[in-house]
Amino acid sequence: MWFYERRLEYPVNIKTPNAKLAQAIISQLGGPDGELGASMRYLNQRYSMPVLQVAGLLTDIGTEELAHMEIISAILHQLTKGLTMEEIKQSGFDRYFVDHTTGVWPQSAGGVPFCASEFQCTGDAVTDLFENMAAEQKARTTYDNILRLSDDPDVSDPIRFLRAREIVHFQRFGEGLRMVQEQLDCANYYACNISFD
Amino acid sequence: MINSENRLKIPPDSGFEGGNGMENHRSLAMAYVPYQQFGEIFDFSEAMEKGTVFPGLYKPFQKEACGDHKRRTETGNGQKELPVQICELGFALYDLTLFLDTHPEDSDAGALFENYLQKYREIRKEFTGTYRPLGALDGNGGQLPAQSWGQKPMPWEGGC
Repeated sequence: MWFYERRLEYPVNIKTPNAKLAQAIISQLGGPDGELGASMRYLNQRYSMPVLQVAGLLTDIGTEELAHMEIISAILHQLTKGLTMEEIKQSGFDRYFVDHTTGVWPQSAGGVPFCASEFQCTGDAVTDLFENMAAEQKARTTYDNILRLSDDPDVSDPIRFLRAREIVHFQRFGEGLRMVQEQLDCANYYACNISFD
Repeated sequence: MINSENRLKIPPDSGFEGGNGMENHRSLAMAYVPYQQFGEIFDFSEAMEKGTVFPGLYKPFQKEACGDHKRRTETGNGQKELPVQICELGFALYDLTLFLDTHPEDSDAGALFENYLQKYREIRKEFTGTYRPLGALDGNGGQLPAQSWGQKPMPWEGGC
């Protein structure tokens, strides 16, 4: 089960609201390569992961992604606090504002609502780990793009932290894949699916 | 039966050795990530700045070279505030946890984790006594966690 620790994994202290930047960063909440998707991907995959240390890894990283989702939500909350109606209208944020005011709701930067289609759980240990490695790279690229867009050090600081975590997660899933490979015949890794057979 | 034609030649010290008792088999139509070996780690403050305790996993984006943003972590007398200590030590522990998930036999990493955990427990006790409860089941006399939500700021409103 889960318990909540009443602190952020990394602090968020943003002094200047910025609706335009919030509209881009929201993709890391509800977008195709965002933290909510990452968390749901890993936490759901662990049930069909027969290598138990790797199921543990999926649990620990999936849990950390919830903490990252919280950091992104804190960034969005602080970026949209104290906005004037003028800023809301000028920035294009009015399209989000009309449905959500300055509440936090998971969607992509393009307005696509979060959906389970944004992650996969194939029920195949090898495939799921490749899915995860790809997901971490996609998230890293998204953070690279956010760093290009941000000129506010208060925003870039936690974003850099989150980006660094994606690289670490990639390495861990790569090691998890090695642990699964150990259980398979290297002459043909694809002879069966150890999650099912 | 293992077909030796499918094995690739792996150079020594490339991270592909059996770091965890794993055998060195490689085949076509598969990808392999080098296994990380435990070594020197960053101090707590630097680990938070860089997003990992492991120097080998620190791969900054080129834009990070511009505009050095230093986190303010010290009070006037050079002591780190408790919330900062909890954040930094908690993070180091979690990064080590992920390492231990894939390196369960690594005794160096395990020993370091135990050492840090001891310190973390002490700081956490001091924090929950001084500031606010951190977990729903923290018992430290005074207000119960569920009664203390009114204490500002919420984690997402700023602070650590």
